[in-house]
Amino acid sequence: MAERTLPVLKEKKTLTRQETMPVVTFYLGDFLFGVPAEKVMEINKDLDLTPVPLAPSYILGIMNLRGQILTVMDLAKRISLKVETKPRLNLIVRADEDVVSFLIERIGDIMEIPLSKLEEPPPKIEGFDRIYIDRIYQLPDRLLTILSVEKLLES
Amino acid sequence: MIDEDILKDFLVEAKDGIAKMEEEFIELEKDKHNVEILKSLFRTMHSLKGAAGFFGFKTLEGIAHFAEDILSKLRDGLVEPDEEIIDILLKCLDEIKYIVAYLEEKKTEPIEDRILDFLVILSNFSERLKKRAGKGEDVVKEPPKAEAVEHAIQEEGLSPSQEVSAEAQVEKEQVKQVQEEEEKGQAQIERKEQPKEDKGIPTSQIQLTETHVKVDVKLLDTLMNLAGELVLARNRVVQLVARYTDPELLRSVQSLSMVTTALQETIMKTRMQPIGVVFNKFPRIVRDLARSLNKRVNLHIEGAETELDRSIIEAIKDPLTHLVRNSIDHGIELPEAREKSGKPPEGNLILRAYHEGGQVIIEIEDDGKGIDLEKVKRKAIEKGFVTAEEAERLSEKEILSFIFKSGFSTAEKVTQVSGRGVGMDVVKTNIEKLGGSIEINTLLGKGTTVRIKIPLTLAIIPALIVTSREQRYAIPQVSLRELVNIDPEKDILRMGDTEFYRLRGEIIPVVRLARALGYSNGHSKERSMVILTTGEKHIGLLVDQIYDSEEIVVKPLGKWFKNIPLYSGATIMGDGKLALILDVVGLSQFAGLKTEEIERSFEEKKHRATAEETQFILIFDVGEDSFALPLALISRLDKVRADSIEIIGGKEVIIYKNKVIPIIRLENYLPIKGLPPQEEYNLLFFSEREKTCAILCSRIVDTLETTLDVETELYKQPGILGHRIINQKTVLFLDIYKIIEMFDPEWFIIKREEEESQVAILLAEDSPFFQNLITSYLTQAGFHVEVAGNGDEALKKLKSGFRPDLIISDIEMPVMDGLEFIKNLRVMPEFKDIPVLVLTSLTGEDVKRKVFEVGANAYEVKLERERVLSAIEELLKKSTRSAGTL
Repeated sequence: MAERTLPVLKEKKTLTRQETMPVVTFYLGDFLFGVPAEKVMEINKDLDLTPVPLAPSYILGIMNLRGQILTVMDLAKRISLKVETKPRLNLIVRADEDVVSFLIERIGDIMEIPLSKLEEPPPKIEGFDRIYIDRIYQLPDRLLTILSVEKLLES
Repeated sequence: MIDEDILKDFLVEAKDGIAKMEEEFIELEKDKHNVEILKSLFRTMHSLKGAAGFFGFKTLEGIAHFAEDILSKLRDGLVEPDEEIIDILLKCLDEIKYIVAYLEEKKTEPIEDRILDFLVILSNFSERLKKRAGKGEDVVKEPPKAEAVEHAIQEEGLSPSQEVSAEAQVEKEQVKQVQEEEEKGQAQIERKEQPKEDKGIPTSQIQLTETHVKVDVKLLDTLMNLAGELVLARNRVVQLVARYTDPELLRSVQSLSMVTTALQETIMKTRMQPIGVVFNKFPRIVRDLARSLNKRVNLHIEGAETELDRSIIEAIKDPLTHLVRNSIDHGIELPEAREKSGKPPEGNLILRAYHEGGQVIIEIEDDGKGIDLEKVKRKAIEKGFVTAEEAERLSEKEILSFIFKSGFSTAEKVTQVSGRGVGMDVVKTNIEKLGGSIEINTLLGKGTTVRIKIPLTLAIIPALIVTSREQRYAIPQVSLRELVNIDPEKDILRMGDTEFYRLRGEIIPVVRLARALGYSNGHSKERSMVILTTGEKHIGLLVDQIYDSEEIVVKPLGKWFKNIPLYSGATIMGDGKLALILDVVGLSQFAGLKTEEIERSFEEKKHRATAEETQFILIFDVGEDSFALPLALISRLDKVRADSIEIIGGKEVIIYKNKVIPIIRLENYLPIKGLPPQEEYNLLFFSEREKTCAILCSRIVDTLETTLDVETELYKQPGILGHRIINQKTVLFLDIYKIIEMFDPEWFIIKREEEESQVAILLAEDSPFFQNLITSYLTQAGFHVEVAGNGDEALKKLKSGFRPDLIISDIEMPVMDGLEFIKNLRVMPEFKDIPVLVLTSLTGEDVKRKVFEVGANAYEVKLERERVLSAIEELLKKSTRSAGTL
């Protein structure tokens, strides 16, 4: 019985969300990126990092978030961003079981983005890997690249 | 009388049952025709009756019986559940509750008229119901069997349950009597109290006190995790508080610390279960398996009460089953085969568990045919794990390790029992996943023991903290063997690209942690070595620093680290920082290939050096000639002035410590120039039993650790065992026993009694030095000695008809070593009882155990002439004695 009602509820939810989606934006170099706010757990500053030797190069190490051990990822490296960055903030995101901290430079606004305005990424993107892009959104002055957390967390 | 524990279990179960039935009766009131509930009630009542019967609680059994009877009629729809029936059933439940409460307190059933009266009422009621059922349903739908059975029970006097009301009164008296007899004195005392209870506590209000509750395992796991967190938080607080000096703060932190530890331990206990939970499944498995294979197996279970974490118990079930199956299928022989090899037809399989050093050891031991190493070797070659050449050089341990390789199975045909796609490799992996280790000890023809070591619990483990490049790493204590402080420059030996360390003669590959972690070299801080063991091999891990050992909580690492074999998780340290937990198996894989290479090249070297162990020798000069002697033969070194040498009775002597010691000049027995006159001489003393003599020499040159490898061809001369070039000088190795004999033929004579037939000894020894030395002193002692250069030669000598009275064997020999030789010897029927003395320069409990395991009778160190001779005497005495009794 309960199972039968669920999809209906879900549909409703997505229907209401049809209009806008909250996105947390942040900077790496001059690039403006965003991830869906529902994936973001918290944003932290300067957490103690423990390096894990032999890990992939985009993995910086692990850290302790109130008793939970998180993997810390160098987001710029992960998406092969060809810009020098000085990351100092932890953007902690969750997808399914995995909790990961992305190192970012600067946090931007939290925006409500109309879903209808989201566009497919162009076939060619300069500066970083296209496969991690979920959607793009044209702001008046610049381009917001919304990243796919799931893709980023794929090992 | 009744086992307390079993009674407790019964009471817990009974209370559970009562609680359940109470709920169900309430349900039943609402829905009188719910068959499911009736069925469930019937089942619960039925098992209560059975359990009560088992304990001999007759009143309880009686009430439960009637209740069950009524319930069965309701269930089958023979009677309608009306108020009256429900009432009487509830009354039954109340009485049962009362009896159970009474049992819990007094351990015996109450003897009260009220209850017996109730039994009579019940009996009558049941009878009435039966008639009603009969009327309602025309003819007998009620199973007559039940009644017949009841009657049978009644006749045996086992049950007070009655079917016929007329008999009830009589029965009532009987029950009373029986019970009174059973509990004479006690009952009388209780009787005085009973009226009070009777009136004071109406049965319906009996409250059963709960001593056990069922808890969701998930809840326990969560508790465990929380306790882990608490431990970490506590550790942090303890560290922080160290900065302050407030005594009150310190005290409260101390008590917080203690409570935390106690809490953690208590919660840990809730997860502990006796290993019997798993062991108890084996009698059945063993029985079925033995039957299907036509084998006879006695299973002995030891230490079933040993407690282990629940999750581990779950996880070892399958590996254990596999090992037990293996033992029966491959280990234990068919009864006929066993009898042929002189064993009882029933095989013995022992499942044993015990605690040792914070770990649990589980052993699966059988007295079957053991593992045929040759067969394993052949198979390994066949499967391409090694080349035939390599296989020859493998140690027993290495050969056995093939069994754990995937794709390996020694069973010639895949049987239904063992060949199910799960190999020993899976067993090993599963046990290692638990942080455990597995090893096999086997003796061909005698049996096999598989030993599993596993940690008590998985969640919190003791670990050693080490550092490399300022980072801390945790190493589970389980894998730790010892700590060594070393100077890497000096103590680490190199062979090609690989490094190793010699720990008391054992070659251990060295892994530099920094390098294993991928840092480039140029790091010289590593001064501490942690010797780790994976169960089969040791590795030396070189780290910067070693800290304390700590209790750590194991936390999993994210998926990005899954394919790095070096880590098994991470943990949060007291200061809130993280440390990676090192995986010892992973580390050893890092050194894996190298180990074998090192061992191999060492083996080769050893074989080239005629596989002999090293000895300290003393080099000394007599005039211009240099001589050598094993240091162990010399009892004392000293200097004497030339004028203290006297001539008494035509012999040169000195007075040394109030004793007259004869002096031997080597030039009198050997073709050498001899000593020029000196002011002062050096003396080498030899003591044998009460006698002492001394050799005069001009100079002590050196002592040297070396193999006793000598050339025997050039100097064939009594008193010389051979020569060797040491530091560009020819050094002659003395046969000191011969020299002393030449000096005084009577010196060594101990009168051997039965001289008529000379005792023959077979000596298996590869080193010419020892061949000569041992032969020399054995011959002096009056034995006939035949020498064989290795185990294989010795076997050939025996096969060609040589029948020695005793065999002496070295261990380290080329082609076939001593252990192998003795093993082979013991399976030959004509030599299975011949006394064997193992002579070696290897010492250590391990070697000793091995030696006796293969079937040797005694064990001595080579240079201990006197002890060797007395061991021989002892063995010969024993063997003639046992021969006499035959």
